[in-house]
Amino acid sequence: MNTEVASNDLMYIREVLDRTHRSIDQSAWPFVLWGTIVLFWYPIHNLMFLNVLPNWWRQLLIFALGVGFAGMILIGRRMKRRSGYVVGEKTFVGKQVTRVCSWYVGAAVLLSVLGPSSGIIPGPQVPVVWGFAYAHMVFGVGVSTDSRQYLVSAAAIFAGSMLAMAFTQFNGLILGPCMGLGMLVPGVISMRRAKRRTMAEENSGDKA
Amino acid sequence: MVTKPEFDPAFLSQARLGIISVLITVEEATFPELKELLKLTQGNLGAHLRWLEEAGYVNVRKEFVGRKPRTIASLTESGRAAFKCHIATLEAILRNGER
Repeated sequence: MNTEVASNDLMYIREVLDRTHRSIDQSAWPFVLWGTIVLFWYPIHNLMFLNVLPNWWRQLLIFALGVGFAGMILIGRRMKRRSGYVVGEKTFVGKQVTRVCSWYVGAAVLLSVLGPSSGIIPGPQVPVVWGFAYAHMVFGVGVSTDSRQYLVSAAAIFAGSMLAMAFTQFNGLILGPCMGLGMLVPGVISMRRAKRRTMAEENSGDKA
Repeated sequence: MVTKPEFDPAFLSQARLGIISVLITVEEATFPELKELLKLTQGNLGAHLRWLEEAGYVNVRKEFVGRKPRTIASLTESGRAAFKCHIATLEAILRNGER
């Protein structure tokens, strides 16, 4: 074996490792789904409290969560049918992302229930709790995946949450676009990157 | 006298090298996942997996999801050790020049 063959082998190994690691990009669809929901849910909820819209917040909550969880199940099933998809979730990075998201969403659910009932967090400030939880979650995803778009989004969501804390009356109108776009945009970027990569590999006729 | 490095025949095929590279990253991978990631044909992948299984580098198990059979491959400890050894050999070749 000569240096050229050794170099080619090492390059091939690196390419396969990269391809496996980056398959995590395909798993960004929950960010797109929940980002879209939050983008509309929070502002509508806020308008209800400002008496601009009829106050059907419970129905809205059930509808938004219903669409979200149904989407998770349906889109999840559809995506898992695609070959090569699940592997991203099984990588070390994929597992870290799942842990980060589970931790922050779990903490936010707990605070949303216990906060107002114990009087520690006033009811109207609950959306701000979610704002901070999302900011930390997106930051964690950015660090785990080494993706700048998530880090920038985390900063935007964090800033929006600070602003929302100061203007409680309008917190949904502030948090909706910040949290919604803060998840939607990096999610779409990740998925488009995954798609571009797949197309480039198909076009290059890459064969192992 | 310079001794020639001994190459594990398992890694002389790029397909087998690819299989081991994927399995070193994930704990286990299904047959379709490997096929997609490595862009191999079904027959080719099956043959190389069998080769690695017989060498004791890969553990292949079959299970049923509903009525559909699913093949799952994972790396064994000796497969992991052999891969690390192969990488070290390749790096040594690049450091020392052509052998």
